Amino acid sequence: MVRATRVLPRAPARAGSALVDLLAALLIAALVGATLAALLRAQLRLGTRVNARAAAAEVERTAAVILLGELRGMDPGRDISGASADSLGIRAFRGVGVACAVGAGSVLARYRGSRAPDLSKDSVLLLRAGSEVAWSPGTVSRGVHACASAEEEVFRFTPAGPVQPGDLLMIFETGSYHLADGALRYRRGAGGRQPLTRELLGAASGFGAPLAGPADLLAPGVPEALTVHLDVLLPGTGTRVPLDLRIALPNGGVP
Amino acid sequence: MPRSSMLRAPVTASATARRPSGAAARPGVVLVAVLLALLLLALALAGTLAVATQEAMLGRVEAATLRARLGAEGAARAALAGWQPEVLGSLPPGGSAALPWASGTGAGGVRWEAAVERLSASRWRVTGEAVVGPVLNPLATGRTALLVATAPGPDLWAGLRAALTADGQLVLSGSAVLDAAAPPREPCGLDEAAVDAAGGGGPFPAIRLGEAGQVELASGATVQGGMEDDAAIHAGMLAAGLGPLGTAALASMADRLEEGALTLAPVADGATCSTAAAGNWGAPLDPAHPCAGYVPVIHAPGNLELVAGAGAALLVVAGDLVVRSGVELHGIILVLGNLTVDEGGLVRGAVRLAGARADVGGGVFRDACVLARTVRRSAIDARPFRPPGRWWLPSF
Repeated sequence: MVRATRVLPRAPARAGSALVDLLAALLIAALVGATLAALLRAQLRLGTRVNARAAAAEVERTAAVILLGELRGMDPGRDISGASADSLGIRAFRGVGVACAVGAGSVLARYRGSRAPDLSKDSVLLLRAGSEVAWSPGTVSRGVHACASAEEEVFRFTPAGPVQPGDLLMIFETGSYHLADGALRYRRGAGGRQPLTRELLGAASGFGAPLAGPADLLAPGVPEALTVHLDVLLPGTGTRVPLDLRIALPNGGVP
Repeated sequence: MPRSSMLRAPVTASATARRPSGAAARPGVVLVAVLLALLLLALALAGTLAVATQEAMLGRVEAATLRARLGAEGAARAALAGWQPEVLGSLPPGGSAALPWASGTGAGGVRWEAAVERLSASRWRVTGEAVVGPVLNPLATGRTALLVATAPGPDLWAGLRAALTADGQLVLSGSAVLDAAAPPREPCGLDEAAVDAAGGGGPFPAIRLGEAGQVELASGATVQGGMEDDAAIHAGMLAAGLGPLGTAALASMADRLEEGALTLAPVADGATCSTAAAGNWGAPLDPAHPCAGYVPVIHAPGNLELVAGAGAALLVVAGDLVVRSGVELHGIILVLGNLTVDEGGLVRGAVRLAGARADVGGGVFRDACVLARTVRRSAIDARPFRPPGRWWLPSF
């Protein structure tokens, strides 16, 4: 059967509509693409900035935690052996013991510290009313005594001088912090560690002159505070940010 | 019309919707590009969020660490601020105690506590500790330690081995009496051992003088126990304080600040001594009075004149002290200026005079009972002070 058909209008009626569609699609795609590209670029910039700020915060945090922890408990008149723009020689305390029992040539002390006393690198600062004496212990070994609490350990020392029950035995190693060549380093003898490296720290970092008070109010020359200059390099931005930490030394100032 | 054309397939709407052949070659390119861009955007956003989240967590820990550190230092300071000499004075060397007044819990999950160890008779270690966060898994902990000192009674009595210790001119006029071993005015109220300790194994002289000291003695004046010269005594030493307690430390420990002319009288509210009342320096002459046990540490930054009444104190006078007739003063007296005791005035205990001159017409008696009572009741031997040098200790 032959069926009559109706012929639809052909191209002349829709001339250029595909091109218009294409152009519209391209335009929309271009707009969307441009928006996305702008968003992406802004996002990447934001990411770089956030990363840089995080790195700066990390530098400040690391330096503050390390130096604050080391310096705040020390007596600057006795425990700082040398201070310059790029180094600070200190007694770095690693634990405190209290003499419990004193025997012939040995003393048992209850002890709490960041690590156990180590004969190869530690000295003892003996604190008694009105006096301080530093000495190297002859021997150090673990001991037992009922005076220790659950959080303490007992160590037996061979003292180099007289010790009385109740005397404080402060365990320290002699070390130095260096802020030079774009790094914060701790050195003890030939060893050491480097908490901050030159990727994050610029060469302008250093220690400020210790702040000491006038003689009539404070002990002359004994520092009250110490300033640490940090030259922080912001990764990915090519910029650097100066940051100063001022650390109070609560034991300073009074003879 | 040819039949073939009549037979051609009908043209339908679906036939006209066919895409151009070129478009069919790259289906979904835009979609893929957009998805790729969105993926990159999401990755960048995720990276930034990760850094920000990490920073937020570090910031939270940092804030918690700061709170813990401040809490620990605050607890140690609170331990000193609320120090109870009467309670802690009985702690034996080697003993330790938790200090409930310096412990507690704060909003935001911070807990702080303080404890004290008596390292020796005169040295204490105060520790403060704070924890932020859950008990089992704390976010941060802080710990700090302070070394503080106290002045044991024997160290104080060692500088009071005469009724009057001075390095200036002493003018004893009228019927002045300086007595090195006066009997107590009334039953001492302390055990004999304490009194003997304050006596320190006498006999003692009535007067101890430095090299610059001179005495003018009127015919009616009496010095019971004699005089002793001691080249170690000088004005600077006398002005420095008492034993390990410097003048500044004594001033900082003062319960009362007094200046000018003062009439002494005990004041009680029922059975309670009104320690804040003006002129109340305890009731040394009435053992039954509610203020009988009140012996304050008093600092007079200027001149002080006691006009009438009776009182007991550990008294530090930066200027001149005048004790008028009828006044009875018990205690340990440090005078950095000059001293005047009128006829009829009486000082029991011991006096250290750093000034250039003393005019005594009344009595100055060394009384071991008063010395022991002054130290015990003022609890001066258990009040903490900053020792010279190191006092903040490293803590772990």
